[in-house]
Amino acid sequence: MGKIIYTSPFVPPEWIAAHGFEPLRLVPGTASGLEGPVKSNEGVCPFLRLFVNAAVAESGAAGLVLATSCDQMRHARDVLDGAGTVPSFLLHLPSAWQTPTAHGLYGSEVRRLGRFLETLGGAAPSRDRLSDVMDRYDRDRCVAATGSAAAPAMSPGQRSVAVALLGGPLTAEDRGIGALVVRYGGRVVLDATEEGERCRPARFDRRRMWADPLGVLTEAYYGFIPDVFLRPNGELFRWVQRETQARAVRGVILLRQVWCDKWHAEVHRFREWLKVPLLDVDLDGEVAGERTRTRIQAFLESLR
Amino acid sequence: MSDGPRQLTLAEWDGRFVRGEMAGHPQPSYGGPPGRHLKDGDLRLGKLLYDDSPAALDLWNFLLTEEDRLRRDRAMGRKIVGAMKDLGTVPVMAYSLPGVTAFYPDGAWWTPCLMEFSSGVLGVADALGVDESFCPVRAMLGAFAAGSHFPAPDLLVCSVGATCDDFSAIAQRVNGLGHPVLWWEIPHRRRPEAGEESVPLPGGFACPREQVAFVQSELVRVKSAVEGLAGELLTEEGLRAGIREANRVRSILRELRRMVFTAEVCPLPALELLIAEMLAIHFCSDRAESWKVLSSLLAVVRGRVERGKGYFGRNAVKVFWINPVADLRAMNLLEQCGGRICGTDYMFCHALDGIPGDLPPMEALARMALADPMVGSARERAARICDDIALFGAEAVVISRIQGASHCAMEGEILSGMIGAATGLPVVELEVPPVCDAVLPSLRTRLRALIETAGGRRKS
Repeated sequence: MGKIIYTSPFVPPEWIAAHGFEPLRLVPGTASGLEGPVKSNEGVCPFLRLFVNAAVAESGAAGLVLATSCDQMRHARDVLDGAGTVPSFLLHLPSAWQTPTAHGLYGSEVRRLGRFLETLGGAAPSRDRLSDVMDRYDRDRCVAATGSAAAPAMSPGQRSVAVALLGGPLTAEDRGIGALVVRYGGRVVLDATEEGERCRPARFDRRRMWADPLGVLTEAYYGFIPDVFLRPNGELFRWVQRETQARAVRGVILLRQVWCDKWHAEVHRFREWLKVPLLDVDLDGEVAGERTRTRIQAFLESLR
Repeated sequence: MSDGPRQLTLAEWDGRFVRGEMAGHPQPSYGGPPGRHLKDGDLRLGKLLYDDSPAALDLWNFLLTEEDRLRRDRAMGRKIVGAMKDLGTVPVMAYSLPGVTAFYPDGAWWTPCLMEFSSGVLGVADALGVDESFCPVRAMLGAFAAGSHFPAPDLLVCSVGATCDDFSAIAQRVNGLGHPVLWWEIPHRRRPEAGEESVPLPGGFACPREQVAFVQSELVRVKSAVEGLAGELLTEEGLRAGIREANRVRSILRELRRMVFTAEVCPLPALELLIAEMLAIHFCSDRAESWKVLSSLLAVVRGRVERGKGYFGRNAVKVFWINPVADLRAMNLLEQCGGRICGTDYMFCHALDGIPGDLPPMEALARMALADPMVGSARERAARICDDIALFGAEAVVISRIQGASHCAMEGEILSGMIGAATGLPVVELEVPPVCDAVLPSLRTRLRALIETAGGRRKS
């Protein structure tokens, strides 16, 4: 049936898979993301550019799902509409999350995504089909719970410094930051970037999953994942504070795409909330340069 | 010697007062020589050119005394609602209750311009980690932290969702400063899909019924909060009356715009028209007075049009301007380069559209909120602009990028491409910083090139 490409952690891959597609949470990179409908204009988020361009270049792409948690992603839909490439869907993620109507809107948007998938040839899943897929994903996530792409396996030496990575989405090039941490004497004990454990959904409520799978699915994503775009976003701060303390984190590296206002604006607040030093690293879509490498090295040295 | 209007400097305006030339014009309570605002720190006023009518002076005095009037309202016991981002919806509701005044803290956007950076609000924002990579609306954060530019609102509400990231991020920081925000969701406006009921919106857009119902439910939450603040319920009839009053103001503005854009000779400079349009969003904190001010201005414009008098001559190139400028001086500059304004989208067109009077009032407000050009696709916004260009006969288009604004990076290219292709008109993008003096030569060059190009097309 082809791939449905997405990047937002609030897009449930179970829903896509249950419609018969292969959900692909694309990690974009410069290999295929430099050229395409999104140009390298001043102010354009490097992640967004690489993601959209790589998505339309992905072989077997049947559709692309964008989410409104980022304003530029919202406008990327316009670029795609004009380019006439891969069919795209814009999922509205309510920012004001504390009301039942916001949760209802998210559920409604997920159902609308289902209708979009049907227009691409997908089949609306039965309850059993969706439950089966959810069950499989839930078990797979449990197995993979300790892994992290940005936090590579390492031998946790006695003297290595426990570090947390925090922030938004990362490109393939940005993922090299985890290796830099290890190289300079640290170990990543918490990956709170968008692809890390912070953005994993809740375990599905198995008592209700077989009776109301879609309800359980949407509850596990929206209202559970703490994110910077939610208003208010205090849950994110509480989550990071709790997890960093529980893992005896000695320093936090905040990774943000260079024009990302939502993460950038919160750097100051994180410094106030956290009891440990924070290094603010802005990412430009390229492999970390000398400046970034030196900053990370100095940061880790200062924590020893 | 022409008996038409002539733009004045601030010193010339003050001279009129000194010579007693304003004695025949009854001054409102906030009236007076405009130079006092410069003495109070609004340094930019000394570099602007002004329309010479007493009505325009009232407009300026009304705008520049807003802070004082808000403090007076607070002292009188009126409750103050700080509405953020929706630009036109929440104030209609708030002013429907007799003891409530609403304003937009977003207006601090212009503080760095007006005070030529002397206010310190950007420095405060810098110190809070919100630096120049953000849109100038970061001045609002500095203003809240400094606590000296407007009274702290009794209730602060902010629309989020399909809004720019800068604003959402900065409003969250305001919340973190101890100003609790009531967040309400405005979803990305989308076109109805197969099987969904389509609902028409002011301004010509449409959206599914489901979105209207959702926004209405969000506005009901805001209404409850405003009622709690006011200590009284807002009845359906009360809200209907509030909508009628808002529509009175909006209808004047629509007529003002129509006359200014279509007159053979420009009857009102761009700067005054921009200020007038801004009154639509929250009535500059006094709904009744804003109606009076705009009515007087409309009378002046009507008189000039009838007499065929105005500014910049008959050959001024008609320009459609997109997005507000961070530095008001840019509007003077356009005219000095041979242009005149003939159509605008300052990001709040929905505040100029009539609010449907034949619907349940909360639904009418929800439809209006969803008509915001910024909450839908840039393609829809461009389509509306193209319609207005055709209606008013613009010959060139300026897209004014906002420094650091998250939406401009993606949106500018879409607007430029679509409008250029659909209309065939020359389009330029400019970036206007809060004080544009340093880039004035470059702005002037770009505007002149645009005007020349548009003028050349006339000949051909």
